[in-house]
Amino acid sequence: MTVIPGTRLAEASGLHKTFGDIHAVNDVSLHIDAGETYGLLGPNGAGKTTTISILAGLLEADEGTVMVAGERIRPRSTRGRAAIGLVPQDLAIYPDLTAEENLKFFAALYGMSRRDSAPRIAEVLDVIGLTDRRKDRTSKYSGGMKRRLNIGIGLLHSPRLLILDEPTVGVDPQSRNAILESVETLSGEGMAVLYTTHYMEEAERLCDRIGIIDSGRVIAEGTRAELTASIGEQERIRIEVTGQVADAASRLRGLDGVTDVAAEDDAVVVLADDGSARLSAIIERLAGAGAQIGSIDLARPDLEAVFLHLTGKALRE
Amino acid sequence: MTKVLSIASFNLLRMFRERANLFFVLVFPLLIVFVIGSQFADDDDAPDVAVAGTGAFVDRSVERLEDTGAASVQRVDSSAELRDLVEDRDVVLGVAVPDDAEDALRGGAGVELTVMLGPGDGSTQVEGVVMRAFEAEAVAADVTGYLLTLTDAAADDIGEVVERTVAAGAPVEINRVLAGGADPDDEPLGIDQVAIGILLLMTFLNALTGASALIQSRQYGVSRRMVATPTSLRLIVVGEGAGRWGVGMFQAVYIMATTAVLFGVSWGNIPAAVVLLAVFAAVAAGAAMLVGAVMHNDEQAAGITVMVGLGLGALGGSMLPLDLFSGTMRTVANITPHAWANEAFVELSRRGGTLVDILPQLGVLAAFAVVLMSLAAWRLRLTLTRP
Amino acid sequence: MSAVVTITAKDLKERLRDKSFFLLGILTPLVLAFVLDLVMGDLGEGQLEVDIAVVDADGSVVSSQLRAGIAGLDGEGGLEVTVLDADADPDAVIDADGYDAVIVIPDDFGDRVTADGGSAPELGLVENPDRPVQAGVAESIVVGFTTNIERARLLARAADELGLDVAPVPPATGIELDRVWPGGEGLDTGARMMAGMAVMFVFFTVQFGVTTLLDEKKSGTLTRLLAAPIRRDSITAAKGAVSFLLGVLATMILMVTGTLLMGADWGPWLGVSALVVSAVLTAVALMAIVAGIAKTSEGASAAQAIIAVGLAMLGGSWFPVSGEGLMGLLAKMTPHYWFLNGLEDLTDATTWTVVGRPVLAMAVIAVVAGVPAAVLLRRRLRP
Repeated sequence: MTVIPGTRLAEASGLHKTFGDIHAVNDVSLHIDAGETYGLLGPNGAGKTTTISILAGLLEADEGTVMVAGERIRPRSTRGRAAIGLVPQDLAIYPDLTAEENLKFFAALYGMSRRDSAPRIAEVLDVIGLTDRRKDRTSKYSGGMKRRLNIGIGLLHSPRLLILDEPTVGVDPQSRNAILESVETLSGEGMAVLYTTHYMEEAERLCDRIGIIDSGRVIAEGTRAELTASIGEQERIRIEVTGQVADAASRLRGLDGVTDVAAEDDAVVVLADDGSARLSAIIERLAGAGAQIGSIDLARPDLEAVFLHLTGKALRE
Repeated sequence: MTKVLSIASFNLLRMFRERANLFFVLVFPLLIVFVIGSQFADDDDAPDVAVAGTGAFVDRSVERLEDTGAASVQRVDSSAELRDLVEDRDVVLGVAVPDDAEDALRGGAGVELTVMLGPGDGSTQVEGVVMRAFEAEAVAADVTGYLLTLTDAAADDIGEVVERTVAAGAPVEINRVLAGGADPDDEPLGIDQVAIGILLLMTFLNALTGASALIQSRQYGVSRRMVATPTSLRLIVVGEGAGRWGVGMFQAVYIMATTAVLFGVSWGNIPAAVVLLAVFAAVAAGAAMLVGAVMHNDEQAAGITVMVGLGLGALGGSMLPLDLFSGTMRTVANITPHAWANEAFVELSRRGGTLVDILPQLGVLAAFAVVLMSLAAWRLRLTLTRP
Repeated sequence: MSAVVTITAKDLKERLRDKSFFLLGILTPLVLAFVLDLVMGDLGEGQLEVDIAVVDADGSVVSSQLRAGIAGLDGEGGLEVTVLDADADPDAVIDADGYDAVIVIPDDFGDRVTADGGSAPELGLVENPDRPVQAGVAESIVVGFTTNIERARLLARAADELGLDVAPVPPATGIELDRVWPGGEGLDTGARMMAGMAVMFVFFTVQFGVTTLLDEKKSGTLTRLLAAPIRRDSITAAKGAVSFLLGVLATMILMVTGTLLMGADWGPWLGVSALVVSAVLTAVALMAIVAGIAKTSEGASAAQAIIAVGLAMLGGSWFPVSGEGLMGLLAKMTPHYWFLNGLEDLTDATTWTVVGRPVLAMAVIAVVAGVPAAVLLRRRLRP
């Protein structure tokens, strides 16, 4: 691939999109360089998919512009589209066609000639490990095979920007690992990758830079180190509780050294300076609230802690 | 029994949640009865015939033709106009009569009437009746002309004698009577026959569309889960079938009630009619279950449903009354449940029959239902218990 | 343009792989046309079976002639005539043997016909109440014989008065018929049924193409199509093209089958093709409106089935409709009416251009329905 790492490949500036009363995307700006993997991290409903749809030219932004590979991306125009490869969150393959036929069809739609597409299809089939099953209808595939084909179609025309929308949701651990590995490989070859997820670990592992998105806004952006540094040396304490979780959480607020508290379904997450020293006080407070305490998990500053600090919410609530 | 009821009521609920189904069940059959009924119920249902020509002979013939009630006649001025009407299919048949026709016949010469037939079979069907009217009115002129060839007497004299003779003799009368003594002109035919046909066609077709419900249950694994519950497979088939039966009965009773009120259709002995419908709806539900157990997907089931529903309906007398079938076809028709139900309905509505009179038909229909249900249960067991 | 071709080719491959196209598009209409032809074909060809009995209670010369005349019709055109004993009870024999009608010649018939003046001679016609149509045929036969009797009777009396000798065999009528078919003889019943089913089922067939847009949405592939470097209109255009091609394919197969199996003579094939193409276009436009409004593929199918059967009934696929009155007006708004009438004209025509008017009418329907359909479908192009 003849891409010079570090050149700006995609740039979105001042994006706004509303659906009725909901401001789904609120002044989002971001840029991705060639060879860079950018993670968009946020809980479900934060505006990740809408942002991606605007970037891929599926939706028209109310305000703002998207440039990819030097072309303005808009739904009405086909310019610049060929530079983008999209892997939608839900499966998007034809069940009545074989893997090979699915690939051939999309190759033709992306304007590849038969001569160019044949070796490329063989290559992609090899990458996604479906060479043996290429002549079978996809309706007969396992869930993991379908997922792999779903990604393969996005890679087919060797896009300069690959957009992956939560590609690991509902995927078994083995396939998930394979997906993450292939993203790493592609990025290493110089492809720009935009990756959305609500799994902190995936963002930490894959992404060079991460944008944290909540309620349609990018509230923080930077490398993992930059983001965690912003909350200082605070530790994240996750305590499994049964009983009145919300009530228990509220009792911890204002406790000395505790900066943020959030409630999950069955756990309380606390951000505290010098967490290990505060642990006994926290547990005492919880016990006093009548909560049954399960396991306790103490972690160094991570993206989840950043998210909690910025929004007062847990990432997976 | 409560299990059957709960499966059935759940199915009814699912059915009525889809608004398109409501239209299909409630509005559509009435529209069809109305459309077809309007062609029958009209007083003016006789085919349109046009006649070109003037003179007493034409006037008398037209009058005679109209008296038969077999055609409604329109008079036109020219044979060109007549041709246009026939070509445009505004009338099924046209007759052009030369202006001097009667005189020519009286003179012993033949007369050529031009019969313009419209395309299709409608024209040949009415042709005989029309021509007989003209022939009947030409009798006096025919006889005058014939006598003229036998004698040297003046044409006028012969004509006078013939006219006098016609006046003296009373013409042959035809007394029509129905076997049993009723007046043939009071026949309550038409819309009743149509309504019976549509009732059976729609009830069957609609119950049959329930096949897709069973297929969906199968696809979603609901049926398999039911197998896992302590419910026997036969009970599930009966239960799913009961859902279709409920829908079928609901629609059938609805069609009966609304057509009786809106179009004055008479259904005869009501309790007997309801029993008959109940058994017929059970046959339809059984057929639906069989299709649902055999077919693999919705689209295939839709194809089979339309084919079987309309095909059996046509074969069973829902589109053309069974009485008009040829002998062989009438026998073939007996393979359809529609034919048996049709026959039973005719017994009830036209001959004032009671439940006892339709017992044979009820028996045959019940056998249909049992066989179809059993086949469906057998097929379903094969499908569901296979991994 | 190449995107339209690519998507169309893909959709066609999917549809042809799916057996439902053959089932619903070709097999079902064939079977139905065959069944309807079996049921109605006999009637159309004047082969209505009519079973008549004659009771001659008179035994005079006149009545014997009449009885023999009627009996002579046995075996002609579906007629079956049985001569019964002079004392047979018509009601009883209808009940027992299922005759459609019994013609009764009363014992004084001959006397009254030959008598000078006096009361009118009467013929009895006892009809089977279950068989009004067949009884009507019997009546028509009796009327015909009555005219002959009247002619003979009048001749005998007038000749008598004029002092002439006439032969006992009465002359035939001087009326001769010149039968012409100004609009052609049209299609026979079987061919008409075939054409009626073909145009009805094309509405089912085209929905396979149009509703794939809803399927693409369900399968998520619409998102990919929208992300691809192709114009959005090429997606709707391809869906229309698929519907159109499948419709034309199925209909032409049915029309050719009609020729091969039923011996239907449609007339010039160029005209048939023009009619088929325009009928399919209207079907695509009408069904596209439904696909544009419906929320799910299942909902669309149900609504389309109703519309398909309903329009077919109005437009004459099931039974011929006249172009008059309110029903006629409604009929003229359906492509079925124009397609079938176009075929009726075409079968006897020497040139295919006679289908100009029906083709134009269908084109108007296609445009009127097609414009809103295109707008509605375009709004469906959302990820």
